[in-house]
Amino acid sequence: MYATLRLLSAVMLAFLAILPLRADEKKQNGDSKIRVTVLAILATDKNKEVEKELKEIAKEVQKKEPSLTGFKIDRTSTKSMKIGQKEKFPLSEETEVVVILKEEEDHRISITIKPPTVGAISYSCCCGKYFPVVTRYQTKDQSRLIIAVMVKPCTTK
Amino acid sequence: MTERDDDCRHLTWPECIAGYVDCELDAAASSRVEAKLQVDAASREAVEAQRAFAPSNSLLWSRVEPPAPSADEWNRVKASVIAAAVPQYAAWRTSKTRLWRYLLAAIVAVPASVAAAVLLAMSIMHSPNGANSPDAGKEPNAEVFAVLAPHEVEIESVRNSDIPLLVVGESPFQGGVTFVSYTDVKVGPVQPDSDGMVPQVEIGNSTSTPMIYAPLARVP
Repeated sequence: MYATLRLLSAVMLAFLAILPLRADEKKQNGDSKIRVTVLAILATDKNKEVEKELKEIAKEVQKKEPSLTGFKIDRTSTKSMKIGQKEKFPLSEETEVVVILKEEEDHRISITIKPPTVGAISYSCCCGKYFPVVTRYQTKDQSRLIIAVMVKPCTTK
Repeated sequence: MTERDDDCRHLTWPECIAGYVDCELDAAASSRVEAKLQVDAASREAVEAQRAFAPSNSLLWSRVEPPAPSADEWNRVKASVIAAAVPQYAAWRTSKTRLWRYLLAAIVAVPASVAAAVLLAMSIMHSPNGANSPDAGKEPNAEVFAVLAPHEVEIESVRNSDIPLLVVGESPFQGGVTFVSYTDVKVGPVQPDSDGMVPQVEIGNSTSTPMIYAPLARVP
């Protein structure tokens, strides 16, 4: 009888002890469910090396700036954010981009970004794909700064 | 002397003598027998004869009554009894209290221990360095600094040229860059920059990628 009661007490205590951890874990996941990734891409006219991941965007940028022949990812930054949060992401050299997550609706995230040398841009985008912005910022070696912002995952509402 | 004496009413005289010798007569009967013995030599001889049966036990023929205890003696006895009984009662109560304490401690400690064991087991099972690790069961070396496991550190920002130099942590760049298509994005308001420059919004189409393009200032 006592053994049964002890066993039941142990199971209940174990359950009660684990429950807050699970709830906390769930809460943390809920609070930081959106991961924002920012690529700092440098385009140059000093070489013709294009990283394989950038061939698509290189072709589009070259329509505007044919002199830019070399494309590489200089820096990658990522942070977990929640709706309404504002974060700064470091880019090349001392530059940074400000990202604000506005809202999430129908598998899309509304975002406002403020890249260097460009005014604030608001857009809504699907998740898991990069949206490029060709800035006017030029590094010390005259490379052109291009940023690409991606958010994921989106939840269904 | 008659066979039946009036002083010992329901007894014969020899029985009365025997009762006197054995101190079985009451005080009044004994007084009357002693008065008669003063004047009756035969009765005295009978008494002496009966007492002579066991001369060595003559002390037994006299009435012995224990002296009544005094009030002080009664108080001492009572105090001794209480002193002997109270500690036992207190010890019994203490032992009973201890038993309940032990039982309560067991009721609290056993489930708590089980819960702690379950949590510990779960943390070990979910840890990559847990029971399935090749280092499991080894004594930790106090002289070796602990290094973060890959899942314990998050790299927020890194130059891609430095990614091969990362000792721990996962690179935020996981490879595979997919850009949006014209159906994936809807561009809203675009604010001019501090110098009034408004970037171009390239919506894109089925063959091109949408993007924001800020042209460099033309040198006149």
